[in-house]
Amino acid sequence: MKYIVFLSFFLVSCTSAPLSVNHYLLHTPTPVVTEAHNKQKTPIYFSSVTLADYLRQASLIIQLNKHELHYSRQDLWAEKLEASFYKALHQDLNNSTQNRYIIEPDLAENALNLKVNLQHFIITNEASVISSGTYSIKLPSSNWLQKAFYFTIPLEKDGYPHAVTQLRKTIATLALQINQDIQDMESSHN
Amino acid sequence: MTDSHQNKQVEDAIVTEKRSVSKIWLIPLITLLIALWMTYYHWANQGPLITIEFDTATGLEAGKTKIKTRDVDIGVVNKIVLSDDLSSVLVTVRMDKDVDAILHQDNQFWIVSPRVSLSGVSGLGTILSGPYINMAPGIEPNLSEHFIALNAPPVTPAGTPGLHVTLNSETEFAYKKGDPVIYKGIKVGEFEDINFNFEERVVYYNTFIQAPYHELITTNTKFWDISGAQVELGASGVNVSTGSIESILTNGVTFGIPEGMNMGERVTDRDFFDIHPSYYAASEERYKFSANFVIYVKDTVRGLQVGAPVEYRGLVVGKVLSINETENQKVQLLEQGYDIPVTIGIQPGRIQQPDTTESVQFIQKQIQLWVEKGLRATLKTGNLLTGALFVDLQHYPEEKYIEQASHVGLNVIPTVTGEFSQITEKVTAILDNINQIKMQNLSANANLMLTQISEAAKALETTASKVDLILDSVQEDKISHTLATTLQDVSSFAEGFSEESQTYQELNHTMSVLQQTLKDLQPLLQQLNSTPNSFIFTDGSTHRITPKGKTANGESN
Repeated sequence: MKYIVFLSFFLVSCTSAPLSVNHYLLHTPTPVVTEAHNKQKTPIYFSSVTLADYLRQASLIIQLNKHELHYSRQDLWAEKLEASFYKALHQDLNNSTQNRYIIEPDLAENALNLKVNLQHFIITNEASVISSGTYSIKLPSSNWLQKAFYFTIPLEKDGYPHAVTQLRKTIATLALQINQDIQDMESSHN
Repeated sequence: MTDSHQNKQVEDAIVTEKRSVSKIWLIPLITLLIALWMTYYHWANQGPLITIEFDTATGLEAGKTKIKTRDVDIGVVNKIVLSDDLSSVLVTVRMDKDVDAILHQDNQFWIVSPRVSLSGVSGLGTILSGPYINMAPGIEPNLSEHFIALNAPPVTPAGTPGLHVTLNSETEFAYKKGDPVIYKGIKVGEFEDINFNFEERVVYYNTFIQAPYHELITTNTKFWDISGAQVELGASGVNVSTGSIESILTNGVTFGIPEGMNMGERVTDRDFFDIHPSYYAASEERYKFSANFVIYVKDTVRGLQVGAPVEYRGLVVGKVLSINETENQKVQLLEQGYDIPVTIGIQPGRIQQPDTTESVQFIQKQIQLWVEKGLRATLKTGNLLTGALFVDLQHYPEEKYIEQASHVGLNVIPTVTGEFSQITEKVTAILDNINQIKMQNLSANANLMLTQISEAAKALETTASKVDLILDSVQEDKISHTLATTLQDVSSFAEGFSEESQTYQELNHTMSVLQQTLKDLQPLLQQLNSTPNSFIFTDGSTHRITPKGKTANGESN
């Protein structure tokens, strides 16, 4: 009798609904830039994006309060955040200006250098997303120039997909700021 | 008036001539009598007239210089004349009347004048008063009126209580008159005079020991020298000993009875004693009797001295009495193979035997018996620094029987060659062998051999360099070929893992698949980590945290 009871419990447990997992990606498919168009742009070598340690995992993060974070078990990044952020930023940088951001080290000679350090890339419990960190720009004949960025965009809707969309907007805003800074540096240098 | 007339009628006086001596003559008469009385008184009260013979009359004046004894004037120099042969000065002295009884034959006279010597300063009082003649009364019953003066004050006045002894020394001690005799730091006597016996070639020192210290002199008393300071270097360090302060400046002797000797009989009359160089030497003389033997030394006696110890198995039993002291030694010394006779004495007192002639005879018999059983004498080195030798008596049972021999009436103890001589013989034999080696031929052969070795070395060096070249070329070829092959292998291996290679692509794909799989497993692992039982049971938590958008009034949901 007891074997029958144990078997029925086992079967009931196996019929429990599995967790639904959602994956998110920051960059999206864009049209390929033609070679002729690219030759007219100033090449800039976008070397790397580095993350804070707590961002080096697959879960999306919600800041519950000032010092507490929640890692979602069902909402994950489809790609490493480091690579996904790099691709998204690279995409926005190239689409927004007349500069051409390259990723090949072989072409980096005599070009501007750019690297980004991402400190926060989180969703807050106060209906907003935050993206902050620093980026460094180096002209061929000058030292590294480091600048900070801090963007927050409110959430209009509930749910993770809208939050990811808002996070993606912070990357576009960062691309605009970087391009503006590079133009200022080049103009002051010339 | 009547009376005057009457007197005129008295018959006239008859004048008669009367012869009388004038009273004035009494004066010269009395004077004469006084002079006669004075002459008689002077003659009757003057002492005897004596003659003293001096070498010189330094400072003496007739009628002025006085003669004293115990600082009392007993006479005055009357006349000073030279002797007939001009070898001396005759001083005539008028002595006082009451001293004629002390003009003994052995009275001593000398001139007292300022004297400064190492022994002291005397006669300073005569610097102002002038010299005088001092007399030391003698004790001889016979009287005399002619004396021979001393050149210097006598050390010991005649009649001083004490003991006269005569010390003699064969060594070159330099005592002089007045040098002290010390006993435990106290000056108890002096050297009186010095005599040199030409026949014996020995110096005799007449010495006086004052009372009561003369009672210390016995038949066993030994005298030894303490002149200056004695420095002895021993195993315990440097030992410096001196006598009195006086003996440091001058010379001196001391005396005593060596340890282990009995007191002996007290000496009351003049006796003779030897002066030994040291207490050790004096104590060595505490034994009177010794059994004398002769040993023949075949090698050198250099380092062997008279007085050197004779030891029996390390114990001192006697000493060396003489070395090569024989008659006609010059003739024998020139003979080939001459053995040097050394006389040794074995003292009974040193081997716990009575110091008597009977013990000497006993030792003679015992040594004779031991000689037959292998007792032999040998010279050994006692001091490596000085090379001093001593005679060692040892039993050598393996020695052959030797019949007892004698030399000048003394029994002979056979000898064996000394240790130094044995070493010398061996070294000499080795040197002889070396001398016999034909060094010239050897050197020529050695030179030839060295030349050949040098040529062989050159040839070997040339060969080695050639071999090195060959080996280097072979090795370089081999290594370069091996390296090339290895690099080709490494290159082909690296090409297999290059980005364009299929292996790299497959590895990259596999790693991506594995990474994706792990990512798919991550929610499950997180769920199991938070609620381990959710693998079987449904998750109890129904609340899912999701982002909330802002409401219309601007507040979060």
